[in-house]
Amino acid sequence: MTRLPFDPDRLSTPLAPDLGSQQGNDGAMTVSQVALLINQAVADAAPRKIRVVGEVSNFVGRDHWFFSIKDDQATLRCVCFASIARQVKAPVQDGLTVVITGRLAFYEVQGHIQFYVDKVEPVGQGPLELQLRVLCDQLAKLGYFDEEKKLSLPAFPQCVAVVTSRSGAALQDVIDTTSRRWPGLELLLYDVRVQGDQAAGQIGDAITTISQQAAKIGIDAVLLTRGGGSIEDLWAFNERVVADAIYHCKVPIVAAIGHQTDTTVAELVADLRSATPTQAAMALVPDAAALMMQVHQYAQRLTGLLSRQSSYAQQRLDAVRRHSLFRRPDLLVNTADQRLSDLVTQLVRSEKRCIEERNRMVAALDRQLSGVGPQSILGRGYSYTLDSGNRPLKLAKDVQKGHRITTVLCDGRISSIVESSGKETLPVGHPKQSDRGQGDLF
Amino acid sequence: MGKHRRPKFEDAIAQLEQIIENLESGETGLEDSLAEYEKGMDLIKQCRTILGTVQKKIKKLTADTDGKLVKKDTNV
Repeated sequence: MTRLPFDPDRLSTPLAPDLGSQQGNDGAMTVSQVALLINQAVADAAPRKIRVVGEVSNFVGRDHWFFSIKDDQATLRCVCFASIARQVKAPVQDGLTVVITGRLAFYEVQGHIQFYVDKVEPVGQGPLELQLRVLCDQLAKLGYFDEEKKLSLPAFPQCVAVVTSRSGAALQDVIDTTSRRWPGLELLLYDVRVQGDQAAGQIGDAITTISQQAAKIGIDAVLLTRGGGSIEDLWAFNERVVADAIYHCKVPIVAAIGHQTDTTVAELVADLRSATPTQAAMALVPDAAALMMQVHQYAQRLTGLLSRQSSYAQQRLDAVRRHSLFRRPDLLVNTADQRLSDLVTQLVRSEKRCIEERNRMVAALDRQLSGVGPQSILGRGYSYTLDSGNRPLKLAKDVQKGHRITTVLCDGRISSIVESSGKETLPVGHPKQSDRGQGDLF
Repeated sequence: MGKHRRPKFEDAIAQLEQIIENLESGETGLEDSLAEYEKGMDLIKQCRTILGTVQKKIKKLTADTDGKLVKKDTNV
């Protein structure tokens, strides 16, 4: 500071310190004395309460806030104690234009004049818009606005809870629209304040309570609505408590707050945002007249489908009935009869052939057998001899002189008495001598 | 989505659409088609009854001392 903000010559004597007792060797004032002078001068010159507008810079805020406020020509140091800082809703940061209310005083410890702030008000778009922006950033990071987390609306709700003021126009719009579209829908009004200090808390409580008891009561969806107003009027729907209640609600919520150009946090978090209460009701409640038409069309389709199927079945039946098998069933019998007759004929012929075949085989075997039988051999001039016991006689030594024997020829028998018996001595070269392998006749 | 009591109308419409789909597929025999048709017409009757329900009065939701929500008549 290049000049004091006061004229020291104008100071009255009672205010001046008693220099006689305190001055140093050369009569100079102490620093504390000067500080006291300055402080007094400031208190005299400046109003007790001042409002200052400027841009925040060098902001340091923990409990107490220390910052400067400046314009393009001057800077003023400021301090805002924690008790005041806690009440400031909008976040203060460098670059923010604010109006501060407070008093000037000389801070003798550091030797400068500073402004002791009693109140901070962001200017222009700052206050509420800034607060809204900060909240939106926070909620976006938490996923409150994520589309995949939004609940789908019920196709045919039977009971809808409307959270709004009973005295507002929005409620009547909802009632008119729902009764026109679906008269049988049950509407339950949860009356809340929709602006003012208590509004956010009431709205949050209403939604939370409905969410907890919806299944028991049978509530299928919630419609949160109010009519148009200023940003301050609608501010309750930008509060964190309302956003939390909507986000955690177990039933779908349709929100229609203010006019079409207004967008609140509640609407961003809700499962569906509608521009007006009427549109919200239309989004939630199906049109019974349109549904009745759809049901009528279903009835026509069903009847048509069955009629077509019956007709097709009838055509198939008629086609079958026209077949020759049904018109001349006797043909089927005749055919079968003819077939049977043919088979019988074939059977008889086969049997006859078979018997003839067998007879030929037997005859052939008989001839074969006769060819190798004893009678054939006898016919060629051979004979065989039986002893007295009618046993075939093979060896000469088996009989003795006087034994009766019988010789069998091809045309009869000769009975004889043995005169002598013994081995025959054959001449050399007789064929019988070398024939050892003829085999037995018997 | 939370657990909701499934409205009868939604059930009826869903069943009706399934019946129509079955009949349109051509894979249903004549006897089964007749049975499905009768069932479908019953559902249509149910839907028409629900849609024709008279208007219900709006009621007010309030929390009693235990915090339990109750419905009360209102002159809204």
